[in-house]
Amino acid sequence: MLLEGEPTPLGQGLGDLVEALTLQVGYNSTLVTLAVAALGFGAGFVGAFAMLRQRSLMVDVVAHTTLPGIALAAYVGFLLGLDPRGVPLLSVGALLSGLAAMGLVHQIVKRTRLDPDSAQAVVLSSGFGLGIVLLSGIQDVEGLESAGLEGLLLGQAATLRAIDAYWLAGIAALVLVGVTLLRKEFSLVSFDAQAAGVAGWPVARLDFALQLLIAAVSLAGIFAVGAILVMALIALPAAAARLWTHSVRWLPPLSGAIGAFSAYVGAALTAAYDGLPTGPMIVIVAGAALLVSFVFGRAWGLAGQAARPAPLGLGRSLLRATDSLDHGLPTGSLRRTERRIVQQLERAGLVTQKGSAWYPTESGERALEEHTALAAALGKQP
Amino acid sequence: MSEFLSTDFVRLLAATLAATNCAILGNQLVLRREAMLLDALSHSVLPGLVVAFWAVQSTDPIAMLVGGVAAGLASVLLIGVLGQRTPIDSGTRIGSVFSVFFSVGILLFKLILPDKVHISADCVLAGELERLIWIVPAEVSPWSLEGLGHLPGALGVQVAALLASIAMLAALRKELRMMTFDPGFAHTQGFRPHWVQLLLMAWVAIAAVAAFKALGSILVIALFVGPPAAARLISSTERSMLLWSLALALSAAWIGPPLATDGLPRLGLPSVSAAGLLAAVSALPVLGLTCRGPSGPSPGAPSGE
Repeated sequence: MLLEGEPTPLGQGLGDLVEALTLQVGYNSTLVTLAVAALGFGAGFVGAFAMLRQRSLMVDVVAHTTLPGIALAAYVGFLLGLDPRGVPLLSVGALLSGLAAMGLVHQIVKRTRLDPDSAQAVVLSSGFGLGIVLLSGIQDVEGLESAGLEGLLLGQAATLRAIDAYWLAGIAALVLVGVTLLRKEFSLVSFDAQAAGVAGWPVARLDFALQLLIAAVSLAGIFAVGAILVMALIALPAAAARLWTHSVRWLPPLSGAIGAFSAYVGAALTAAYDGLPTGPMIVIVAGAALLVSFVFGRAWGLAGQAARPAPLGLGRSLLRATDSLDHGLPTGSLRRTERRIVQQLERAGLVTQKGSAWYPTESGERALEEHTALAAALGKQP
Repeated sequence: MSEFLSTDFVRLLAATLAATNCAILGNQLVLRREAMLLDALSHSVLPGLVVAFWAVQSTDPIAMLVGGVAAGLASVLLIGVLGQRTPIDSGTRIGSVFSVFFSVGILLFKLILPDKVHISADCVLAGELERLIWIVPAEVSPWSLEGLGHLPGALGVQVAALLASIAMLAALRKELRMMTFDPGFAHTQGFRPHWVQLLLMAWVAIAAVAAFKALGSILVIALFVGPPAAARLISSTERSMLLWSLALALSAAWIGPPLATDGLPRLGLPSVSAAGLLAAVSALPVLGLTCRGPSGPSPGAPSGE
């Protein structure tokens, strides 16, 4: 909804969008779109491991706390006579303060009894506050006014130059190589850190390597989608991909592809229509991908969920619970999936409801001994 | 009326109200180890605020509260639904949902808010504590009813939100305590953890919306978590944690903004964002206590009264 009289950027028809999607909007925009797509792939790829290792929120911490470093780098660069808005210069500042924040969270968790969530929230918000303080402090300095908040926080892909695009694509490539080389180790640590440690793998160092790669890709992402939305580049593609596959081999490339697609379409949309912020557009496309995956995803989507046979292990645990508790398994204590499985067991005549609890029938008690009867009840091949 | 009353006093009042309200609610979240849900909530209220503004074409406080709380709760519920139906871990769910909500908010903000409304994106991101001013016509006493009526509307909302938080925490003291310290037991006693949790989230959203004008959507997290997290490190009962967090929150509110707008310029430095310094200062106690290293009861020891 736009006010009347204003030129409506969305009213220009689809022609511009098609042009942008087919990369016909000029050399610079094309380069930036491709670089952002490459970055989307790198972020999605490493994001899959961030998700498996449950480190996604660290991205948000690193991204928000790059701000003080960026402000200081801009100021120092200005004093030294460098371009205060140059991406490489700001990246160095961003990397240093992001790493410092990561170390701080680590120290807080190690040295105090605060939980990781609180430690992350404290460091994230106060680091961001410090960044706002520094940015507001240097904005009166002549020559630094243009280092605006909005571009840093919400993405400024439209203003990137060719050299910045190469820089971003380079970081994406570097991260991709790093993750590919350490893929096996990251998978192992993600699934069973203890076993990995016992087997002699340096778990702490691998975790640090993963966080370093996450930090690298997130600080490159800041220049494309902005500090607040970098999180989305890591989290959304990984979450969407997880709904399509159970395989750790396919998860990272799939997640990378979803990330690249979202970044590409989002950046093209921004190039085609004036006034749209880059970061939010990319995130909304990725969000749409997650929504589609949530409904249609082959592994976990809603559409296929009813048709999929219930997991055998959960069925056995529930059946055993009805038998082992003195007063049956209370109906009120079950979650949705559990209730569905118990109802399946009831239809197969293995459990029966008395009052507000489930009890096993005779054949149910027999099924606890025999593997095949339970498997048949749950529609599984024994 | 003096310049102090019309600017510094109002800023101090807004910071004090926000710090108090956030600290008492933040205690619950820190104890429940759900601090990062705040990250989701405080970002997610944005689309609700924009839609509410568009619907009533003014910054009517009731509409803002309804819109913001609805959007905030929608995000929390969505995070919950994804958690029930999919194997995605909580951090990834939080990050996915809040970034989409925030993006939709920013997009709507750009598309539907006419330029004549003086809300810039900078306000969303960093708050505008400096813009809160109290101007009373010369012939009216500032302390008369009419004079007080000229106070910024955001302050009234903050007072109402603070009173609502105190009432809720007092009324649900038992339920909250039981569910924080022993959720399993609470469940067997017939309490409804989901509803109390949702209610707590609604109140957090109200507090975030009330403080939005002053602090924006991210800095407010520092006030929610900073003082309670430090208090958690130096107290072993719920009551002392509450008192400590209030004390730390008030000191942050009384040190940060005055330092940013008056203290630094007197030292020859440029004046800086008051909300930003407030957020940065409120985390200092945690950092100090981290340097001191581990102390007090071990993480496994029972806490609470």
